[in-house]
Amino acid sequence: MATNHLQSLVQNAKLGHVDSFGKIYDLLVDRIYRFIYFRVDTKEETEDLTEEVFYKVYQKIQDYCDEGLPFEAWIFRIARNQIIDYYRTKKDLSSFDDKIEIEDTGPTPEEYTVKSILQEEVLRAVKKLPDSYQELIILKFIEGKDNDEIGGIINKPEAHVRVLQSRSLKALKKVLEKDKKI
Amino acid sequence: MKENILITLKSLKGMSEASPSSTFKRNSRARFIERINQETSLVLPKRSISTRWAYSFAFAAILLFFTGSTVFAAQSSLPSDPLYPVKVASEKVALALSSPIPSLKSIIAEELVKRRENEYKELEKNNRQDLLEKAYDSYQKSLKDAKGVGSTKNENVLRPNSQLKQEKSSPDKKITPTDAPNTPKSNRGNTQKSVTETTKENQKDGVGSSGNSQKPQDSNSNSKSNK
Repeated sequence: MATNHLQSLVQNAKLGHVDSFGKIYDLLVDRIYRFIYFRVDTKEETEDLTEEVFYKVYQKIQDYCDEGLPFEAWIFRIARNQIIDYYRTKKDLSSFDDKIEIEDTGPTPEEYTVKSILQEEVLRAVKKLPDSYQELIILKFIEGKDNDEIGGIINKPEAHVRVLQSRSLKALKKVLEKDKKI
Repeated sequence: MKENILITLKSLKGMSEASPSSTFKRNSRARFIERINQETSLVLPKRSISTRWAYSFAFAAILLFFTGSTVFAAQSSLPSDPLYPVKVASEKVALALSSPIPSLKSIIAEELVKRRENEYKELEKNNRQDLLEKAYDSYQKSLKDAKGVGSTKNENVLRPNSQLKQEKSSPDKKITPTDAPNTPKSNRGNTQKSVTETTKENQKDGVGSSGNSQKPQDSNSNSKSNK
């Protein structure tokens, strides 16, 4: 995606051009959806959060200043905060959830045939990791972002991202070894 | 093993489940745009810094208009009160500072019409005949000003005092301040003319100096009649 094109869309969106918001949505929805998908439990939650992220973008776009943080990183930061809020709310409601018998949301045998079992196991292993490791693995190894941009998204220095990267990979390896799946 | 993990992780990007369905994208995009359209119709558009400054001044003017210790105390004053000039001055400042925003200026102008109307009614209630004509003139001027800034809300609801007095003396007619003037709508702009004309007629008929216990409303006409 041409960064300049995105920047001009952002400028127009700031001026209140609704079409530009639509184009920003088209450009980034897949990435934001995927980022959320790997962090939450269900497709429905992913969809809800994705919608909310774009609405937040609309609400906060006047605050966005393109000095330093690229717009895409800024949007990922919003998505990240949205996920944090989601888990915070979920934690608050967990006392109620404990009393409700929740339907198993794991993949059905049919789904297994479609999905790569290996992919599924790795994804499950990723979801067992602490939040910061999950975040880094998704941004670095799935989305292919560089350390600078990740630093911008998680609001940490690049050196911290490097340390986190090494630790998260080690942790993932450990989980997979424990499961003996890879 | 590390390489296997990295390859598998990279492949997760292509997982069909990790991509939004086209139906979701279409519907979600439509909802997003609709939400923006709804909100933008309610919220004022974002403005340049200079316009924002102008707005800030205007809102400061409103604040000054309705609050502020002495100014606030003056807001309920009548033309006979010592604080009345403060009230008028604060109104002028508010009008001047609100000029960058025509809609705001129009709101203030409408408020001023209401104030002048209330002042007139108060004076009438207090039987301050000596100030009624001046208050009526101020009311007419505020109406004219409000129309000048595009306000269409205010209608001429007051009658010239001489007409009121005339009608008070006739027991058949009940007078309410909200009665429309007898003049046709097209002639309402000439109310000022009708006041003087009515005054002259009253002088001829001796209405202005009737046995009414009220003070004569027009000092000029009084001096003439005294002569």
